[in-house]
Amino acid sequence: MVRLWTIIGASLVSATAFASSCPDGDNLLQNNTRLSQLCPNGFTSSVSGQIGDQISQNGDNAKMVVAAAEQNGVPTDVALAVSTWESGLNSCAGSNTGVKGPMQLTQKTARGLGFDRDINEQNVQGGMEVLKQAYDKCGDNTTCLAASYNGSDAAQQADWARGVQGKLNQLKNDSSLIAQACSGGSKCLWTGSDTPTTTTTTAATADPQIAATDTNVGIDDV
Amino acid sequence: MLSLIMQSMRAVGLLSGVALMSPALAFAQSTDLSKLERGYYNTPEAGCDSISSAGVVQFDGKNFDGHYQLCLTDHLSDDRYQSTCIEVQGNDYKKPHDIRNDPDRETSTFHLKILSPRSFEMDHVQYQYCRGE
Repeated sequence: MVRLWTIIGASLVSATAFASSCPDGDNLLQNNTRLSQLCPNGFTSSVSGQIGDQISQNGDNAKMVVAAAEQNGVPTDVALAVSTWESGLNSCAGSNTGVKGPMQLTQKTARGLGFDRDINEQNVQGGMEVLKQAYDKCGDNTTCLAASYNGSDAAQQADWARGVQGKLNQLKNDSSLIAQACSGGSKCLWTGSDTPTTTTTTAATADPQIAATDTNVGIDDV
Repeated sequence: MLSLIMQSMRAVGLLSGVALMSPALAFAQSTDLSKLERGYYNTPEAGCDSISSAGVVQFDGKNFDGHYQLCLTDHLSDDRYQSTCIEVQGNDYKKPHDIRNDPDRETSTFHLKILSPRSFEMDHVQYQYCRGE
């Protein structure tokens, strides 16, 4: 009996530790959707648009980025800044022969972390783990992040740092963007104040256990 | 007098037109990579706001690299080229001495037309010069 409660307790702790304040994002991350299925017409090199539009057009990816960021301890705004810069949150960003997906993860990097880059949800999770490693080293210093996450030549790193910093500034200056990202447009716990709200969410979720943990989890928006 | 001025203006206009057109006329479409300027390229639709996002192609004088991708480009025949590429990110981003022996390499063939010293068409997708390396 004690053993059973231990297992149940461990399961609850585990669920609590991995749940974010965006239950929709948590649930979506459980899927395994191949990029080829999402992008039957191939991949696009065009990454443009404002953050708000990118979030609106790629709501599920925005939710997953927020959830994965929280699960990995990456500030939401940093995660969104990188993903919107890399792909515009578009699963179909990239080239047919090169990197692709919301986090523009390379297959080699993904494999090294136990993920498949060509599965959308794992692209987000793997990218977030890479970003977590970079964030632990750099904080939100985008020049340092550029060396760790992007790592290409000096000109591209400088461009990446400038671009991500621009996105980060927009996200810091407009709190509604993060609210929009974690909600897909309508529902979010985050209020834009310095202290994340702990109000119980009414967001629909298939997993009541995850929903129950929402009362204890705030969004780390830096 | 007015007609003389008009004639002069037309002549200048014609000359300007010729001057503007001559570089394009002088450049015959080619498949010779040496005619293409080194630098970063992107599609006109994607624009040149960024050289570090998806879709950017870097030409180093011999090879076309993609976003998080290092490649060796080989001429096959006529307008056909082959790219042998590996993906690189973060700390992996070093030009390996031998891409051809990398177990994760991918090869693909493509058709290439050099439209001008600063534009080319790769598999019917046009790229324009954004900036130098």
